Amino acid sequence: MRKIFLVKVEGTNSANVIQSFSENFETVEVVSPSEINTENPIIILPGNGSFKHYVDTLKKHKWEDYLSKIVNKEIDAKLLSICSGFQVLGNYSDESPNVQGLNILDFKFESITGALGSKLVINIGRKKISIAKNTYNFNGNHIDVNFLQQGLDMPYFVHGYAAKLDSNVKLNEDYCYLKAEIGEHEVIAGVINNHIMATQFHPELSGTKWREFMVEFMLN
Amino acid sequence: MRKIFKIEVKNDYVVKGVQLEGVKKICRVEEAIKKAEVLGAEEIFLVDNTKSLFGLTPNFKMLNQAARFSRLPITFGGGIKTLEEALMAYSIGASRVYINTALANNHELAIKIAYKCGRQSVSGGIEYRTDSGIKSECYVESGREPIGKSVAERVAIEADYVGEFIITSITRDGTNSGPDLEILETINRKDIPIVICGGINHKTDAEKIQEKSLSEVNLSGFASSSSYLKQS
Repeated sequence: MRKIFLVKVEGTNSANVIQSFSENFETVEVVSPSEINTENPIIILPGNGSFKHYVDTLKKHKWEDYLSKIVNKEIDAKLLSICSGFQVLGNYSDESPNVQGLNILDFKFESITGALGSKLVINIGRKKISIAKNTYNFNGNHIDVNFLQQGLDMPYFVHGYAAKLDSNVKLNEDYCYLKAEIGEHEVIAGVINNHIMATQFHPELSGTKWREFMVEFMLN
Repeated sequence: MRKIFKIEVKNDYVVKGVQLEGVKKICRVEEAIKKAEVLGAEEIFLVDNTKSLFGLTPNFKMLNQAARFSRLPITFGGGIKTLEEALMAYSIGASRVYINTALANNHELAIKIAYKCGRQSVSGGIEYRTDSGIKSECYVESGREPIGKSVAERVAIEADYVGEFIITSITRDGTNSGPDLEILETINRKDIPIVICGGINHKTDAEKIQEKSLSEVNLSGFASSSSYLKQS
């Protein structure tokens, strides 16, 4: 059974991720990149966790450079980042205004009640998503773009901060962007290409089709 | 509208009582989860009320069993008193922890959990009675100890420390008498998600709860238990 490496951060929902992939992968929990001992590894940043605690933990164990190299395709590896694991890849969160994120993705996460006009401080539950922009060429990959386009299986969200999707956000040609609506605004629900799948929602808690989608992403 | 199925456990069994008392064994936790999933549950609320009542360690054994079987998000509660117990719950398979007694006593625990795990990982529990001639009185220790505060007062004081509230009408619990929707009108804080629980039939009450959500924006979902557990 192929290994996947789950980055250990206290307070994250690692058990949900392990359970979700138990039929397809052997999960190895790792504290630092030095523990990764296979070629073409698959790395997972699980969900939950506060921005400050999560960023501090990753910086302490020197993940910045390694994760950046995956996203920039300097290492042949795959990265699945879920919810808080997605947010820490950005550069800022209202949750911890004095803490700089890992600066790997150019996103700023704002309070959904502040900048985004949500009536509720936390967005919890299943929510419709769709493709905002897809300029990435998935050619030769098994990712089912139609599944994303149809938006039939609403994924499960739990978050109080989100990255607004508006004209100020520079969309990189190298990604497929997913969006959702919060209040009157559109927000980034995820970014996907052959190397990274980073989502604001929890695909591991969103049903069989999302689990199959993640497995396809990781294996192909 | 989130459809949540509440699974009350005691030791190794799923149980159900009336007004949080006189619980009877119903089935194994795997069976209850299977039923919940078949009936369209979106989340599981797993709670062992006896742990809080007797000051015991949370029922991690049942959480472990439930998490291995279920692919739905699980909110887990009953007797969580420390950050370490909350972290243990997440590491076993809880997506959120539910704290009532510890939250009502002080906010330190919720602050500590939110600092590490994020506020969205904490569900504040509020259990209340309406049968004493007043609008609502909150209780802790599994509905045994009154604390002299109303639901609205607790929400106002505690809303900044949690990601949502699960408010349970002890008066209606296990009676299948329908949801207490009036309680929502007493709550002034409208920016915190509220899940209502107690007396709810997931089939017959869903429509009126949905309708209520049009006027009460913070009504995020409902949790029911006895109605689906009794269904064959």
